[in-house]
Amino acid sequence: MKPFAINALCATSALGQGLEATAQGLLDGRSALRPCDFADAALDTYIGRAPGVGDHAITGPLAAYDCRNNRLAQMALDGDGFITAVGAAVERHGADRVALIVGTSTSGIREGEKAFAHRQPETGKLPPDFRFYETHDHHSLAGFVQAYLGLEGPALTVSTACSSSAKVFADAAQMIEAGFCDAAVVGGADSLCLLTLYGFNSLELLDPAPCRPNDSGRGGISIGEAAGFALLERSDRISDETIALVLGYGESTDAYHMSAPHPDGLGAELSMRAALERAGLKPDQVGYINQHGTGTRQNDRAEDIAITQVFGEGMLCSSTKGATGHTLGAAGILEIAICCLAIERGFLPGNVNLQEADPDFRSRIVAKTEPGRIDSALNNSFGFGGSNCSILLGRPL
Amino acid sequence: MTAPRILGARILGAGLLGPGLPSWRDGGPILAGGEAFVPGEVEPPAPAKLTSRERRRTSFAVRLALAVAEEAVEGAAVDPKTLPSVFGWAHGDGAVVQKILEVLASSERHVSPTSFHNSVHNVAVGYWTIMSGSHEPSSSIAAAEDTFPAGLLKALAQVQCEQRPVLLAVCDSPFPEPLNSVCEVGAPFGFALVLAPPDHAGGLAGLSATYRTGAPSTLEPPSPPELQPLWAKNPAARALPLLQHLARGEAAALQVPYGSQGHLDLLLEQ
Repeated sequence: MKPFAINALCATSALGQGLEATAQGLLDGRSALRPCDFADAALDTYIGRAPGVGDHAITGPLAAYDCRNNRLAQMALDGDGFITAVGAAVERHGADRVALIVGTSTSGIREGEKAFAHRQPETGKLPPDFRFYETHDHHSLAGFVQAYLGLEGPALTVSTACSSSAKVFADAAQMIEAGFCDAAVVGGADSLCLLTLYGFNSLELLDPAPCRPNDSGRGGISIGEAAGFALLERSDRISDETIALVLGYGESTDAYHMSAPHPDGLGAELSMRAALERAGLKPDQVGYINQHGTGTRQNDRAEDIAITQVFGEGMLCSSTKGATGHTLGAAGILEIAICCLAIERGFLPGNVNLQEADPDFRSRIVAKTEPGRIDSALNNSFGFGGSNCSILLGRPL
Repeated sequence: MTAPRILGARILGAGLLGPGLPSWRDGGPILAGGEAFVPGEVEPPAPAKLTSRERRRTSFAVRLALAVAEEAVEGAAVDPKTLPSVFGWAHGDGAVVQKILEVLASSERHVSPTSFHNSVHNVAVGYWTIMSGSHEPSSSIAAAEDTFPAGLLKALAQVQCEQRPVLLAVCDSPFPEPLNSVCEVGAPFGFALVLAPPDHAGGLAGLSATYRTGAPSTLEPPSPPELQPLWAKNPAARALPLLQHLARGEAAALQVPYGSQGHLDLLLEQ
């Protein structure tokens, strides 16, 4: 396929608001995980909580959308010159020719949790100030972002668990290529809530210590939260302002189990091969893989097998979830942003919290952030339901 | 600015399930107007192609989606293993989500592992791929009341780019109280279409879509009027007017609202 230009990019996570804070955190090898202090969750785990969400209430005409998930989205959108760049794209193409495709797994369900904790005792009704469509619903994020950015093209929410905000890049490429739009704002947001904390706890997938992806002693995930967005345009819009290129995308399905990955990483292998094929790249042309690398025994093992199948032994890889936590439906956009930073600034992001790489693994895990030129990087995002997505990013020519 | 392009596809097969509409085979003639519409209970069959353990874990809403997908694929006579799939669900499985929200509001907070993995929006397409053994791309999309036009646009774009058939299934089911009071879906309804590149031989009809700004200039309700509450409340049932023309085997130009800013122009051709 012809590459697409990423002409604007923003991200917010536990590492901080904006790309500069994100890059600095990675260069410092900092873990932003802390003992769980979210709401009244009583769980022996660590979380990647984004700082300052409480100070970023949504006010004015869009106040109805105010909830943790949309606040996180607003914090991302307000940084990195994103709004100005999207405004220029709207000028170029027309607001109706800019699509919005966002990924989220739980959207603003935290508001639903609060509403169910405050049901009216006599009737069981939900409190009258519960705004289902603007907060709790999956499409609430898209509704807020579309209005905040003044977009008038088609809007779509992708919700495929932890691959959600990676798959939006594939959808945007298809929508632009098919001619339904000329540009797309893609990305996503997922925020801390009790549903995912207690849900992953029920599956016994929470590490009681800060998560250690790829480590021989890894014991599960640490849940984080993030939001991020990218402006995608056709290759004729590549310019000095272009941050990175989307060279290819691959999607596949495990067809194996609802909540466990295929043990040999079959789906992961298929999605990485599909991304390479679309980009017309050979495996040895990829310089770095940002792994899905959740920190569970099963995921990291299956992913290492799949990477070795496609790229051979010694592929340079890391998971950055020890720094940010697993940001679930936002993992795709956050880690794609990290790949873009690594390409742009010339560094290999370290695998924060790694003590001893799993001796069975055949990939070369980048333990500490190191300088290095990367011409193309691959991001992996895998989700429940066996939903896999690999996005191949490259340096603008 | 580029002028909007008209994108075509061939509809190879259809699936249907709703009150008084037991399948596309038996419900198509009712939609076409040849047989009387008598609303009744919706009873999606247990998905026979899943293992008994997985089958027990599927909810009503998931079974509805699997049933319409299976009928469309059988009608299209394509191997489901080869099909990318796009499942649309306006608000997810509210029954499962409500159960978890109730548990989280209790002092114990013992979320069941099965409930948790069934709470993801892509649960239906997840079971579909397990049942069909398909490793092809699969997605689960939402756009509140605009889920039908959003899913259709995504599926048409994928057909165009990949030049092969894609399965689209769009379903919605009512929530239990109290969620029903804040998001009323009315009655369960789902449909599925297998969409192929426009030069594909055979099939039921040709379908093309264009996104345009502004509200629809005409909005054709389904007939008979007894179908209109379903059409008005269930986001998947916004496809009813299109499905009626498809069942009648006639050409039609239709508009479907899409967001506060636009609509889809749909063109159905033989």
